[in-house]
Amino acid sequence: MSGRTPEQILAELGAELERAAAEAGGPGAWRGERGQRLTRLARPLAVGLTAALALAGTAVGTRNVWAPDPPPSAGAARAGGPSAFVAAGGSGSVRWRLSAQACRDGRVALYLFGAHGAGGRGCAAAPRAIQTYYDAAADRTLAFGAAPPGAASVQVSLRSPGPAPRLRTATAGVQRAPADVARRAGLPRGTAYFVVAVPGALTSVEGAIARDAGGAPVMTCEEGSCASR
Amino acid sequence: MDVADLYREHAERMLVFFARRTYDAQTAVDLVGETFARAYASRDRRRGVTPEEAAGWVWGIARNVLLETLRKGAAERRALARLGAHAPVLNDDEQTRIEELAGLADLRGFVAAALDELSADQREALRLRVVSELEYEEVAATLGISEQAARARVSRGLRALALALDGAEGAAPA
Repeated sequence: MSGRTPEQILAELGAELERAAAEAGGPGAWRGERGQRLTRLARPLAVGLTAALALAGTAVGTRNVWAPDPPPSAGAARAGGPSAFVAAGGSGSVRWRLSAQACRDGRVALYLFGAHGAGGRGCAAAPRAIQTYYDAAADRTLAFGAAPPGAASVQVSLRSPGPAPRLRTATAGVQRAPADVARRAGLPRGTAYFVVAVPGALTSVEGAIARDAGGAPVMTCEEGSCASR
Repeated sequence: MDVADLYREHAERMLVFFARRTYDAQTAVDLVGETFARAYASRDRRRGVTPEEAAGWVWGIARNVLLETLRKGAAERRALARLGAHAPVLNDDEQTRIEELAGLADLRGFVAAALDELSADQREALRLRVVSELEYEEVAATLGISEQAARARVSRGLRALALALDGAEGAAPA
């Protein structure tokens, strides 16, 4: 099969609506007053946080980086606990934040928030070891997931759909939620979260390998399933 | 919850909702877009602040969009056009994926089974009224029964199909 998944189609539609709304009502119009306030605050907040992280201890700095947590949704709350931001970063001009939610069945649902939309599967959806989100406005694909506590970096191979697929491999370091954030959201302690970005719409995951600081593999993923070592 | 939150929370479920009621993946995508374009356009008139109230509001818009589409026989896209937005155009594989997500193959099976369960009289009355789009008077004349009896047969047949469909899937949130 070629083409986009329903999630990617909806992400594209959401980005298109946001673009059109921004043209009609100005930046942040799609996200309403709260979103506009956040957008206005985002730049000075980012500068302030960068300075705070550079000047203060990491433990103090990260408490601010993760707040505020994403709003709980009625549907999500039925299937799991509260959501919490567990990682944040950027690739080129694409900024992202990753939220996690502990599901009642023991899984962790991940959701990626980008500048032009969001993607991910909640607790009620069928699980995916590694998910992808295509940012159509930036023409970049972000692959995201969780790795065992020992992981230090994750290498992900992504493929474009269609008859002449392109393959790219990229590596990113992992991030961990501060202990108090993980505890408050009921997330497993020490879990390593990763987001890998590649240019283009390469939305099929070929495989992935997570390695510890010494380069030894701690998790390998193939054909949609991952095995920890 | 703002419109972006509502989209994130409800778009996939709404896609399934529309696909199961229009049997067409492209129409379903268009109607999700139309619903949220209308939600965006009327966001200042929205009442209620809780997530449940917001969900009720946006699903109310979705039902109206569906009704208008069914009445017109074509996807409603006025608000999308006013906003200057375009829904993604799907290829065959993408349509198939959405049909799989919505479980349309199962749903068709339920409808076929429900049709088989109807009496021959009810099935024929439904065919004349729904497929051939005859007036009740014409249905009655074709079947050689009174107009009241024709209405009753069609009504019972539709109710049986509706019950079968309700059993095959969850309804949209209230």
